[in-house]
Amino acid sequence: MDIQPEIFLESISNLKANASRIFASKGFPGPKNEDYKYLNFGNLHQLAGTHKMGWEQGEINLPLSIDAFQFVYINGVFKPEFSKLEGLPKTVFFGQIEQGFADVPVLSRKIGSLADVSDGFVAFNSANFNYGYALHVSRGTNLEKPLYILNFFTGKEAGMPQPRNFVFLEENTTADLYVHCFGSDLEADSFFNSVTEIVLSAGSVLNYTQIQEGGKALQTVDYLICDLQKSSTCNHTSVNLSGKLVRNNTQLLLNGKGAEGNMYGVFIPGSGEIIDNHTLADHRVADCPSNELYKGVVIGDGTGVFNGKIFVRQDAQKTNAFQSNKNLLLSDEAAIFTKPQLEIYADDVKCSHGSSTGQLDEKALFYLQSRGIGLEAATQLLVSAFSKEILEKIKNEQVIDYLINAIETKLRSHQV
Amino acid sequence: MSDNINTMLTINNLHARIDEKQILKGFSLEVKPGEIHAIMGPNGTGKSTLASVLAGREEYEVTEGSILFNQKDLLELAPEDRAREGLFLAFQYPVEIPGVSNINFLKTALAEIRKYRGLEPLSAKDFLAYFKEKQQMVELGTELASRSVNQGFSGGEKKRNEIFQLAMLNPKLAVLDETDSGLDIDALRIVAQGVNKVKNPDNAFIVITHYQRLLDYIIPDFVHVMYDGRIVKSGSKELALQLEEKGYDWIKNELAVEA
Repeated sequence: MDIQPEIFLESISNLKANASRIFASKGFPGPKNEDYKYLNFGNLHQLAGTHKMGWEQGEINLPLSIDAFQFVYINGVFKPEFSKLEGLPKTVFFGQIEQGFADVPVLSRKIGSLADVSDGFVAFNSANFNYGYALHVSRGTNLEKPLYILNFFTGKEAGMPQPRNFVFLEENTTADLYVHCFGSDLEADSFFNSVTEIVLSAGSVLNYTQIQEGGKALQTVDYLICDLQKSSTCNHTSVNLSGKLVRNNTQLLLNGKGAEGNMYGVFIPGSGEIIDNHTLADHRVADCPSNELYKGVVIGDGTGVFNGKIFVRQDAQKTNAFQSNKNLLLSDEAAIFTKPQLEIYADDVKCSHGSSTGQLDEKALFYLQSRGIGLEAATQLLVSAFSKEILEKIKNEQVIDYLINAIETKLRSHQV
Repeated sequence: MSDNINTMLTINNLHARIDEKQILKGFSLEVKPGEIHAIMGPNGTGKSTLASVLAGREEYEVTEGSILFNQKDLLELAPEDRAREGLFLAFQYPVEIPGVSNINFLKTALAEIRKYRGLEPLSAKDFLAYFKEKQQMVELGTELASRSVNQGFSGGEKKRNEIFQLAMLNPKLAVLDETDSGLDIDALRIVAQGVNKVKNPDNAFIVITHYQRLLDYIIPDFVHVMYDGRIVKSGSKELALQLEEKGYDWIKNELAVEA
């Protein structure tokens, strides 16, 4: 079934028009913009006109296969032949964003209400998005399987795919979402600009796992913003294993009392790669906990960036906000930029942040070598051990195994 | 020094230092297969330095002398190759490695050692059986496999874990660096039992110890006393009993008289 590429309601047209106007005046952020100072995207305007990358039907080996409801996009185009929707409860809408506008009223109402259109990438996406998924889980639904979304990139044509995604969980529902970006077969420098808006109603729980394997040719900006209502929980785990340039903007807005936001991440930039994680835990009301642990392993002359903002607003008394960033540098050329940003306006709060950066424990390395384990294998063991703390947050065992293998492959191919 | 190809280890006139401080000053030793050598001595005489130099710790610089292991120049080999050649060091202070499980660690080590020797890795089933068998020998609990290496282990458990690894890797020459330090009598018994079970006519042990007590359980063929960076007296197991009785001052006085 082919979905009409343009089913726009009036509110959507307004969103696009407004965003176009803003983008026309602001353009893309560049290195002079404080928030993006470590990133040099090159000449994005050249790519901006090329949305569709094209793909002729051919052999595609999906990198990961799990028992889940599934959508696959190849080079920014939805491919229904790879969908797995059997058994999807009737009280769940899991479909393409265009259909979502027609079938999910809250989507049309809420889209654009969270993402900050003053950010040039969000503006460009809002003006130009042409695909994406929508998920709406109705009250009382028991979703027994996870949902898996794959953005697969391949071939020799450059492009700038712009998915716009929307997730809405009604009261007391739960969803496990795995969103995977894979581009190791992509040969032409391309730019993937994704925006995801999420609304979690009271008591709902979202487990969201982002797997980023863009490959050498893909630059990525992945913007995710989540509105957490009363007593809802968002467990966000981000695993970033490759990409010419990756920028993750992850924002959890704690809008309801007792909402809990957890952000976990492991990022492993290799030589020539830069992975930049900007996160925000925005405490807007009282009694919310937030927890953050990001671990970086930098290989060769790669660069990692971690910028974790905790915003505690005046009414957010009894906030518990914890942030920790730990990094391993595997070579003398590796670099990490790490910065906590705490803005605290309430006075009865517990907030902490900590960062440590170092090299592999020499004593541990020597111990492993003294048992016959070479430096390469010893490094693998220690990096796996380091990453494990984050991987263990993921619920699906197959995904964990896949990621353990992917990390080992990454280390082997970039051997120090 | 004999050129006897039966000799497993030949240390000849070894001088080694760390940070400009000379510790080993002409250390020599020959070890043949099937032998157990005990090295005793007061603190600060270079016992642990000897173990570190054998294992290949980079902080120590060899300034003179040679070490032949199975006719190969040991000092030319990287630490992992020394292990693959059949050298094992049981550390005095085993390090903790959170996140690396005991089973994964040993599986990797055994596979690399076997590969070096041209052997296929053990099947998962065989490896597990082998692991369980050796684990029982040192009386380490069944959760050992999934626990991280040495993490949360008591002193006694860490030392038993060293002997467990020794049993798993089956080296030609095992150097036990003060394995008995900090052990109660039960742990000592288990450690010694482990060594005695692994001992055979083709392998050899160098047992570095401060106290004679361990040598009641691991009977040495030769006892050497280290002082000021070299061996100053060698004898049979009776020498250890004499030391226990008379103390290290006895040796120092003997040396003073000779000087």
